[in-house]
Amino acid sequence: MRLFSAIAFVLLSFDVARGQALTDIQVDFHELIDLRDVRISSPNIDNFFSIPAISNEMSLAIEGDIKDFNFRASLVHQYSVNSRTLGDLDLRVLELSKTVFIDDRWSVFGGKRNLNWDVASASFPVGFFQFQPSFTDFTDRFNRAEGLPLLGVNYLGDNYDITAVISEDFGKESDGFNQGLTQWAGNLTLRTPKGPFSLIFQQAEDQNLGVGFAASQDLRSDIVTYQSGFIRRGTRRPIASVLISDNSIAPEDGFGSFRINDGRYYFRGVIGATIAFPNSLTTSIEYSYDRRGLNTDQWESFVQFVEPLNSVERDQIDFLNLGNISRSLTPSGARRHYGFIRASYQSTRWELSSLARMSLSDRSFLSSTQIIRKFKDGSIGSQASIFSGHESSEFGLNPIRNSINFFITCNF
Amino acid sequence: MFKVAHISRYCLVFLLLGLCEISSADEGRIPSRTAIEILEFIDGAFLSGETYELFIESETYRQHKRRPDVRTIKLLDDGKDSTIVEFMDGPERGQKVLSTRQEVWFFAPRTKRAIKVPSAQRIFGNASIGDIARLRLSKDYNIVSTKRENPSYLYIDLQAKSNVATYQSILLKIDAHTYLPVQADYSVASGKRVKRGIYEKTEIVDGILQRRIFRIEDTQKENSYTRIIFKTAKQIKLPPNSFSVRRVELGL
Repeated sequence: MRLFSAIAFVLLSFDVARGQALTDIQVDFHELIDLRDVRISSPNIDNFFSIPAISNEMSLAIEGDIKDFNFRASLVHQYSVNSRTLGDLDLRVLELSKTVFIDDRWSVFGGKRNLNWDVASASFPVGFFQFQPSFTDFTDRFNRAEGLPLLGVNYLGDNYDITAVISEDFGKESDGFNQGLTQWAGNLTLRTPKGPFSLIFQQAEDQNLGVGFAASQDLRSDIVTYQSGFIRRGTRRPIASVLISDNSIAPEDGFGSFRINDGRYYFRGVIGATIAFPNSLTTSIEYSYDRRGLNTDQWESFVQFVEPLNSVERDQIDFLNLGNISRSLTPSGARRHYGFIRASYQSTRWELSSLARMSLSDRSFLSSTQIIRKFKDGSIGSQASIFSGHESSEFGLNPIRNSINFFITCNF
Repeated sequence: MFKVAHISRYCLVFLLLGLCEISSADEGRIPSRTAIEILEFIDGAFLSGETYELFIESETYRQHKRRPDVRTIKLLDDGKDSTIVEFMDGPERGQKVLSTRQEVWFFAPRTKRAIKVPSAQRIFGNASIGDIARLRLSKDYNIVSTKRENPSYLYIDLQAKSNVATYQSILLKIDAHTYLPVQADYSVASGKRVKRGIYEKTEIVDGILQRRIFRIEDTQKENSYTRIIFKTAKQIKLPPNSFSVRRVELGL
């Protein structure tokens, strides 16, 4: 995949240099310095996650249209103080896709791209082909939104549209979510007077067919509400085997899709609203539920498993078990009930935003505030994040206690 | 560029307005039918029925700042009720906003996410999406009353037909002699006036009223205003479904 990325980037660079095939192009440079206060506790014993206290990321991103292909690529250099090396230089083709409009109604699209079906800000129950942004980088300022290899067809009716998509993410290993997955999906979107309503079907390799929906409504000129949900029998979302069985010693492959054919129905959904105030302030508020997450008993098992490791002498088996079980802590959330609120203020020169994601089961939260000074050809900014909660809570256990970053972007 | 029919419509409007001015001089009112014609005339190119491309320069001025913040915006309009706004420069470059009669969608360029947003949301400076792209006075508003306060100006009081309209009420001030719009006061549902739009420069091209410079003042920011400078419109051909969420997502 890296070879493919490198070849693609070189080819694009040639065309950029010739300036012939490009109809529109933009180049962005960004520099990001991240400072972190690493929390040394269970499950991050002896900095088990190897989180660097200081890291630096520099990237050059190029995007545009070339020979009717839409592309985005980035050249990224990462350096962390922990590794004390010159750092990794990585070429990433984030998107390379083409859409062919057969006539006014039919179109075919293919390549590596994002396809967004979900409506919410922080949870994506039907976001099968979309990049799920970090809670601290909603607009993908740092060019991480990588698409999936897919092929699709779309029909646009007068008040509806139909899309069918097949995707095989051959270049990556499965992460239990959208990465490394072979899947197909269909989307029927109806445009009703109250707002759009999408009915969605999706089936992944070795899984049952699932069904979902996404909808949004304008309540007033300043309030939009939205909902989405998805249900399927069985789930591929990985879990540590010790959390669903009585076996206290996890096997080597103790983290996997053990619930893929367990016969249970797993629902995930989100409801939310966006409110625009007259003074340039916009607020989004959401509640999300995901039955695939850990329930109270499973979370207690998690805590009971990792806490003793913090106080006793540990052997290799303990670390193996810790590795398996700690993978339950995912950026999208380990548990079932979450709240989310984000407020942002924008002027022509300043952008200020603040957000909080709360694990409602244990009242722990992540909060983050960002300030950006905008210029005509770039921006500078800083963001501070705090992970807070009692010592047995989800965000209280997070390996990072708090962090602050500084960044500069230049648009050419 | 636009149809001959528009020229005749323009003439008809002026004829009606002329008659109306004579007949209503004593009453200090404008007949409601004529007021509708005025609104259609002010909507101008937004109702031409032709798809066109228009470049806009947005200048936001602040107190103690010598130079304004300037952005270039491309506007595609279907001449009926839908518009696509695209930012051409600055940190917002590549961002698009699709505005249809029912809803407004924001498109993030990198994540390619289509996010439904309230039409009242600001997009740049004091200008909201509705100010640039969405307001169709004759289609989206009912005439509540009309009046003439002095010989120079006519006033039309408008109430939104739907609660999703950008503003719930608008008081429109019109030059009584030329019937060109002078200013508009915009209010939200609570009745509070939030903005004033001033038609600094207008032109009539092929019988169609074209806004050239439109100034937007925020009542809460006394020392700041945004000037929207409209460049020449160019008629273009786009597929019929171009102004749909899915089509914008897939790429125009």
